Amino acid sequence: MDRRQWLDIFRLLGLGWYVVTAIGVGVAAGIFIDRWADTAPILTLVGLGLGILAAFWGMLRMVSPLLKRNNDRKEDR
Amino acid sequence: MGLFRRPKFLLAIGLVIVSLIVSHTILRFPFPFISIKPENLGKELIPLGPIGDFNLTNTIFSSWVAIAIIFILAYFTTRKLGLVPRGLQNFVEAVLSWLLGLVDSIAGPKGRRFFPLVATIFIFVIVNNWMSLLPGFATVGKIESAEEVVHHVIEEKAEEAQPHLTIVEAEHELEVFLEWDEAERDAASTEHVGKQIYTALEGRELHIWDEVGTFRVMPFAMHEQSMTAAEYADEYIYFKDGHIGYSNPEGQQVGLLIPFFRNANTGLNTTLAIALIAMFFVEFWGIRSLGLFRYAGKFLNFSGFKRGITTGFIDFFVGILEGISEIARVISFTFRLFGNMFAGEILLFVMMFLIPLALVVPFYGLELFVGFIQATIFAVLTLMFAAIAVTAHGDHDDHSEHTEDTAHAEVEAPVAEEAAETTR
Repeated sequence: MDRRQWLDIFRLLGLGWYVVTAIGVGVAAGIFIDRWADTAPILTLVGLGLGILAAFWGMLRMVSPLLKRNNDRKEDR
Repeated sequence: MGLFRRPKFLLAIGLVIVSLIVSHTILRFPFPFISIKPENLGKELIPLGPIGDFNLTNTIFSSWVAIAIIFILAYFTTRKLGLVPRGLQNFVEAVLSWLLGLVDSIAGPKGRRFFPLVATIFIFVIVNNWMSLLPGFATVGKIESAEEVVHHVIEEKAEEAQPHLTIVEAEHELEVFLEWDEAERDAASTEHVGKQIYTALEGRELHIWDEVGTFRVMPFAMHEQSMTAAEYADEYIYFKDGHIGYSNPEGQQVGLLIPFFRNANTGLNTTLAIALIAMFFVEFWGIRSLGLFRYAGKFLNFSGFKRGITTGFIDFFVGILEGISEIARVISFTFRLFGNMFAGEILLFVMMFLIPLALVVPFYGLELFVGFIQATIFAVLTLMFAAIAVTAHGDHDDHSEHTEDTAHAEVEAPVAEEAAETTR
């Protein structure tokens, strides 16, 4: 394997924790604001949704260059 | 089963069984007390005036040792620099050129300004991780005596249960009497706290040393050298003249070992600090190369409203998602490193407890690998986020169509990468 592939591996290894924490941050922020504004459970749910979206969005951002490169390689063949 | 006829397989099983028996008879290793919080080395917090109190924990102490090692290494490497690298200089140059290649291949030649930070993070993290595999880490330390342990547990639990209560005294059977600050005494709640304290004490396993002293090594290869804090409290805490007293078994010392050294990355403070530094620099580079307003526009994006309400809302929403993912990055940096290193430490403890000496060796190899991987992930991700932050992604002013812009964004990163590849 060349260096590029190793770098891709490290990049992907970091993804799992990112997804977990993005969702966690959304929920935690939701719960915190809910407690402060006394609006439970609406903002917790909103935070959960935002966290999931942010996790997906960030994951897409990190993976899309790799996907793009893979597609290019397929087209070359 | 052909497997059971193979002599090597039978030999391996036999070795495991023998070492299991030996480990639970001759080489008994006590299960250490595992605390997520780094242990405090000093008796008191060191006051630092307006900044607050300074807590000299064993993780901070070890990180100082790691810094000292890096300094000494750097000093001896640069003292006699030769054109043809030899010895230490050769090693350090190899490591640095590997890191430089890493930076070049991700961020391109323009990314060399990221190199100092990325290399610093990598070296600091990996020195800390690998240093913690040396003998003496987590096994040599001072003793927190049993009475201190009991006292801390009582204080902690009572505070958790009723923050506004002050502890007056703990009586013989660990029935804790609490005095209410304002409200009246509640017998049921007092009993509840007492039960909680007792359960917590039962969970704390204390070690017993045969001599009395302050500095101790983890007891190893000894028989029945532990008791729970609850057993200790039942037997050696007495109540006399309205005061609580503690005693020790004859000629022995009971307590917990507070190690002097503990991998700095097994404390959340260190990993959070590195993550904050990394993300601070990422934001700083982003602002410096794009300008404050263009950079802030990534997160608070109103420019889409020029092209219609729907596009505007989508762009604004995407900006907010960017903001959340920025915060999530700091936390995922923190917990990724902390989680991996802390889990590794516990893995080694457990393996040492299950089958000492024999089974723990392959796991040391694993931890060597994990320490390297985690340091590299931290460095590579920092570099990647920095490279993303300085590219003008999400800037909608130059494009008329939203779809065109996202397509542009998808293309841009690989282009930078291809440029990097050609320079490599």
